[in-house]
Amino acid sequence: MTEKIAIQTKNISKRYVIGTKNSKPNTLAGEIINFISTPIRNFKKLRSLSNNTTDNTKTIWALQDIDLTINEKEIVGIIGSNGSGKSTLLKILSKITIPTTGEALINGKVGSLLEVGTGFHDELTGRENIFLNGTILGMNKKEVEENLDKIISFSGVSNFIDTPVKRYSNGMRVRLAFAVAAYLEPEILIIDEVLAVGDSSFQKQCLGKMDDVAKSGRTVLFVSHNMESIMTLCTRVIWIDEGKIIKDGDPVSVVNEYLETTNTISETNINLENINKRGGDGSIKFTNLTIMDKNQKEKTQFNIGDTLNLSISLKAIEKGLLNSNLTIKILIKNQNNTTVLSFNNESYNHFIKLDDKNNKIQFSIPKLPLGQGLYSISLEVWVNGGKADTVGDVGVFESTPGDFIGNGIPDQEHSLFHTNSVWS
Amino acid sequence: MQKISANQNSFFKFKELINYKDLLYFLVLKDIKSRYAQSVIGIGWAIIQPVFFMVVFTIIFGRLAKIDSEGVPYAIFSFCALVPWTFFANGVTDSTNSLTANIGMITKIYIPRLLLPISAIIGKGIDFLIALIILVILLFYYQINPGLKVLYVFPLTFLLIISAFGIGTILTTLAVQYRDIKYALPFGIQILMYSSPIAFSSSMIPDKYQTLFAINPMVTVVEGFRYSFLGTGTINTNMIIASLVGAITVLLISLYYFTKTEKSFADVA
Repeated sequence: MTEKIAIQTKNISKRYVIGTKNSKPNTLAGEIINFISTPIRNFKKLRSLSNNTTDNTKTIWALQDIDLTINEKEIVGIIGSNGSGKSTLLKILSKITIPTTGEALINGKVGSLLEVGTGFHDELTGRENIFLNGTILGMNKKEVEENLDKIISFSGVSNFIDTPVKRYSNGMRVRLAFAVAAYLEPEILIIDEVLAVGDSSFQKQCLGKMDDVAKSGRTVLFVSHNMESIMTLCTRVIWIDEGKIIKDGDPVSVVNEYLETTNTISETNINLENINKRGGDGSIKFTNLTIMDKNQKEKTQFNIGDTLNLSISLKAIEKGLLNSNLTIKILIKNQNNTTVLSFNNESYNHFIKLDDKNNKIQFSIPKLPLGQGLYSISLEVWVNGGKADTVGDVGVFESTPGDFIGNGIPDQEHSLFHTNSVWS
Repeated sequence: MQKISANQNSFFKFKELINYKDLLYFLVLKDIKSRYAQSVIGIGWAIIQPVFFMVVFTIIFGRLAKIDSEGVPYAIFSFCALVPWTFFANGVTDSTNSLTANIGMITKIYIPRLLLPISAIIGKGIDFLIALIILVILLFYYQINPGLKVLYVFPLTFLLIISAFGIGTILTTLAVQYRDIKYALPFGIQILMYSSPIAFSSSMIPDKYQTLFAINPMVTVVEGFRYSFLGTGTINTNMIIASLVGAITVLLISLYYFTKTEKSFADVA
């Protein structure tokens, strides 16, 4: 028996228009002309959002020539770093957006879950929201009614089912929303990273439900950063980077190869100027990141408990912008792409004011508390409340067994974190 | 087998809307329930808006400005116009905001997006029905018997609904990309109100401006409502047909524009 095709894509590409920062005039007359012509410029900018502009400097290809054939009953995991085009692919297959070129053929009823609780309304009760959300997801009233009792008991909020959801805690909302989605029974199920919500027992419940779905003979497309669940659930994994398929095959080998390339130790002195994947309006850019030890010696291997020093350089397109109120965020993520540490200067009441010559920030973690493994560094800069630049997973360092407590004996136990403790 | 590509051209997917009829029902329910949730008077607010305007108009235009109400009490003269007008104004406003107020339903899931302006119009239709009941009560109070002319209300209501839906659909499509629409709308509605015969009768407009005046679809509706309930005003079948042709043309253009633009909603919203 030949297997039936559920999804087939032919050369799908998707182009997006990105915002480009306008250069600002520095004379009063220029400022006035600039002010008067703002509506015209705004109009051109807004119109270009839907028009097919050919100006390549203002566009980005989120997907390029994706050719895929997915058979019925396959459980396909899609992996890749942030901004690689995974979600765009799911959006195209869910009919939310159309490809710029190419086409996709879909055989069967599609149910997609890119967000939990789409259309939830605060003033409606839990029960009413089940019906609203269920019909948004593509069920009809009868199907929701048939599953109503199961949905309510799966959600675990049965006591509050006739209370408006605005009285719910965040966790309760998510549980209710996921419960509705869990009883969606399409032939093809498309799921974006939605399992990263709720507490761990609920996540287990969700993964169990996913497993049931997978075994019930439906076709599933599933984006996740959690490599463990990808490997246990999927029968096939596709790795996408910068809008292209890098590898497509059996879960273990694709995931391993992905982890190897993404989490190799980086250089100690990293030039950030030429990174293409970045967010923010670009008014300020990161130019360099240097990873060092306590003696300011460049290094990417640290023992647990060592001092980690970072030196971050920035540059502004506009003169004097570095002298504004800057907020720098530093995120450290583990191999599962989970943020394990997050820092920003505001919470330390440290104000950062730089200028074009003095453009470096020094950051230090005096005692590295992270367990053995590889960690990546992501940076964000905000100026006057607006996001100026973000670069993800730029530097990678390794944490190796060390003497966190300082008693001269290297720690041998494997644990994710280390901290001081008091015994009596 | 479904096909997804850049050059799909389907004008109006009626069958798809039918498949989602249960969603339409719950969207309307959400619209009505959320509007009157946590309020003491609840759905009573549907009555208060036109009644309040009636009182204000009666005092200012009826008593102070002494505007001619063609032989019927000014209160019912203005209320008869306010019932369709309130539906039109609120229907256009709600359907214009329907897409931008439900961004999540556009960017995170696929539903036939036309359901959003449709549900906004239906939601306001409930208010319209309640206001009509008040109008009937007022007719009894003033002992006015409309007679068979009242049947004109059916084609007029149809005209009213497709005018509001057509205009709302064009505006909501524009509003996804240009948020200016949202800010310009309230005073656009105000201007339209003063250029409709709500507080006055269209016989007060000089003859040479009558044609220009009649471009506004609400002129036929309002004058028609007065004619069928109160017997005042001038309306004939030709005027209704002309307005219907105009409104259906606008509706078809709006549906064409909506389906053509719908493909890029998720990218620009």
